[in-house]
Amino acid sequence: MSAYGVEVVIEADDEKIFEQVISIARKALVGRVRFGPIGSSSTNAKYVFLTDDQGVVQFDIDGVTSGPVRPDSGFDRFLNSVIRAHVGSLAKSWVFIHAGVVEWKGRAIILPGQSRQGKTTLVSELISCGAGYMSDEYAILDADGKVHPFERDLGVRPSAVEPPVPVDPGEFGGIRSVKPIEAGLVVFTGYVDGGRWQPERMTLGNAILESVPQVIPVSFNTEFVLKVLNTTFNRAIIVKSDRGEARDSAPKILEYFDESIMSGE
Amino acid sequence: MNNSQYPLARTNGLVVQEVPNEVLVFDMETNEAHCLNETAAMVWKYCDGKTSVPQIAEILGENKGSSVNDDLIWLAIDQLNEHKLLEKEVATKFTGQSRREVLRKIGLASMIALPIIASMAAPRSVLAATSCACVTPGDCLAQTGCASTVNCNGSSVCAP
Repeated sequence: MSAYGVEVVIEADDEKIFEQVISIARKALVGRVRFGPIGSSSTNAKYVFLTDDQGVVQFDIDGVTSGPVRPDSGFDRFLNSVIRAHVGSLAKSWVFIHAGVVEWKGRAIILPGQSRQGKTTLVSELISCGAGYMSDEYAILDADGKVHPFERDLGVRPSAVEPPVPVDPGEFGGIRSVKPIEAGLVVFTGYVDGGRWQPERMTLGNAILESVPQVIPVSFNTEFVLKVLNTTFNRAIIVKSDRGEARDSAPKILEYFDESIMSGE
Repeated sequence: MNNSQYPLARTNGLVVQEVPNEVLVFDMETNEAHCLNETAAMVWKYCDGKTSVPQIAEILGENKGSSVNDDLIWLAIDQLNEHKLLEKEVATKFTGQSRREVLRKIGLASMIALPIIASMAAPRSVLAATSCACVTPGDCLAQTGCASTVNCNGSSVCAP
């Protein structure tokens, strides 16, 4: 398979598992993946899946063994996440940052942050306010610092302890924004009980530093990653703020964008 | 420990990215990123093993148009030491004093920004995990072999 410039050989001794892996990879990489024979000289990684008599799978991702797991017990979710993160970490011409992203007035609003800080909720409220949906999981940056969409559905959790279920952005009245665009606003924010939207400007250096834990291993391609973050964030206004309910914060973020960016500040 | 007055910046195993008024340093050995503010970055730049602490203070003062006390340079060196950004550790000048006391003393006397180095740990290899299932980020703290020890991602895995 080939995705984001990364070529991976997939081997499985069970045809059903092989098809399952292909299907998981297709979902994990939101369709930006090609399958077919690849030359060994261009291979970046190898995934091997071995199934025993009881149908239990042991797998090896680039020399790191995982499992054993049953293919019907969390295998899909785990592998989906691992493939995405692994390809992201090997993509030499791309930077994957864990972030929500929406488009507003032709520029990207990037919300870097960990899961379970209400990022998907905030993204869904932003698209309800008219912003274009780009991602609730990764901001994908190219070498020129442009922000690309990661076009999967939103991953909405029915409850705090349940895994996310895919929801089309149309259900929030939003549309998908598919073109690469420049960043306009970068917001480091997380839900705090009783929190208020009070944006404070951050320096470029501190913003890049705060992003480091959200970048899929920065240590693999460090110079490139730091350069791309510099280029991307340098074009944007960067702020940090606590926030309360996403419903209240979303319009305030868009207002802040309009005041500070559209006014040409 | 080297008690030299001629500190030398470490260069091996570091990736440096300059941004306006700051310098970012990624330490490949510790997998940590550091952001040096302008003052800390300038001190680090002049840690060439040939320039003494009083000379660095003088250069900084000329650059900023204000006299700079040696203690301010020592404060930067103290932090550079702490973050392993010097070739050899330099003995601190502030033994027996808390950082807060030192900051208060220097801050009151200084006309230029105090040196600050902020740091952040980067995630480990995405494939270092065999079982990294989680429900909350707290579940990842002890899973040191996982791609992230702070983030439980959308797929319930300790990874970015």
